[in-house]
Amino acid sequence: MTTLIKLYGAPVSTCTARVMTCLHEKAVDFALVPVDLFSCEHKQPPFLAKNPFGQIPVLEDGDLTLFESRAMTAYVAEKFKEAGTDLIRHHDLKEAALVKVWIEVESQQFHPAIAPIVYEYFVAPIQGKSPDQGVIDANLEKLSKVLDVYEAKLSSAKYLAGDFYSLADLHHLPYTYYFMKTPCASIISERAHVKAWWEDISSRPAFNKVSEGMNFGEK
Amino acid sequence: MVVKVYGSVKAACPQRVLACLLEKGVEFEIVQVDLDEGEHKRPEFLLRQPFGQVPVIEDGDFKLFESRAIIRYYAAKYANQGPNLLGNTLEEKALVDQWLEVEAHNFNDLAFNLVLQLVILPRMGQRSDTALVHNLEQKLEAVLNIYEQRLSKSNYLAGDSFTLADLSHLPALRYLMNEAGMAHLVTQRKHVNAWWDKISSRPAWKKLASLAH
Repeated sequence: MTTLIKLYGAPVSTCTARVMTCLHEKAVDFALVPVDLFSCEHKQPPFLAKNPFGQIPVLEDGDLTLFESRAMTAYVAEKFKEAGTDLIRHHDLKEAALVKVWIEVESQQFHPAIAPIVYEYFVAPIQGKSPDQGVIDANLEKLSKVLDVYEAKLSSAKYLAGDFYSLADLHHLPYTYYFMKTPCASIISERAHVKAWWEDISSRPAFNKVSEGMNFGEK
Repeated sequence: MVVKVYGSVKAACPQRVLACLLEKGVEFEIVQVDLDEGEHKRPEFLLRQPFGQVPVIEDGDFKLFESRAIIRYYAAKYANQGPNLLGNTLEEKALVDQWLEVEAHNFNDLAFNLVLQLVILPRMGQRSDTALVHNLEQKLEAVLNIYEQRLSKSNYLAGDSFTLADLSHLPALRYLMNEAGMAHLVTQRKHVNAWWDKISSRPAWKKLASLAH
């Protein structure tokens, strides 16, 4: 009998959403164990034993405990490679490598530019701060340059790693979802291929199950 | 077929790839890209790597960029040759991935920005930001405390063998400990220091260090 995967996190959390979307794409049962961010549960000893970096999510599968959301999605996509959507192209080493390239692009190029913007609009206000326009502007400039590369790439293939949906596309979902609710959304919608790609990947049922929980109570 | 690696043997991200190729005994040829002259930002290079960064590899017709994707590809392609850098079971591979992610998201920005402030800006005749350096150093100390804890329980980051997770740290750590003058971050931590000694005395790394520096 296989154990039920436990995911420690919060429905509003981008990185938790990343892993949950992957689990849904693979039709894998799991239990979401809520971690109370507002009382800083993730920074205290019982949780630190699971992730010494004090971050959510954490995944437990039997004896295995993992942190880092992108390591979790890679694990789930590999363990359940024959089930649900093929997110990693495991039959073809070269396609698999191209998926890895664009996973790294999200991680190294896209994420560092979009994360501070999402932080300023969604997290700073919770801490009683106003969004820092300087940070937003500087990162919008970086993100625009990254999106220019995406626009060119997506004009020759439907998805980032080729004509197939993969983990590389999936990893973009949570931060972009929040970003589209900010005044900066136009940098996505004014690029025709990026816009079409976004509309496609964000309408997948697996993501819709997760995005329902992604709201801070704002309209 | 010899793998072409576009980059400079002195630059950290190409070194990540070269270290992996050397570990796996894969023949390569370095194609110099003149970073000081901005060659990597010119149209011809942007056709190879649209973000204008090194390294890029060309393996026959197959091209890849992003150093951490490249090392994952070669570690998988040559799984049966040289040391096993990925782990055997699914769980072992997951732990390698986890610590590769830690390097990318918890370690690299701090290390890179310290080297930028302490080594690169001065070389360009620019002043570094002392307050920022102090801040980065404190944060990196906190991260390395976690590494110290981890390495007190296992010989290497992902378990008992050297893997990509350890390899990925080599270039930035070498810069931190040498040109950046931050060796104390490592030498003051018993287990991190022992780990650094082990990983930096591997023949593949020593060969690369002698080519580069």
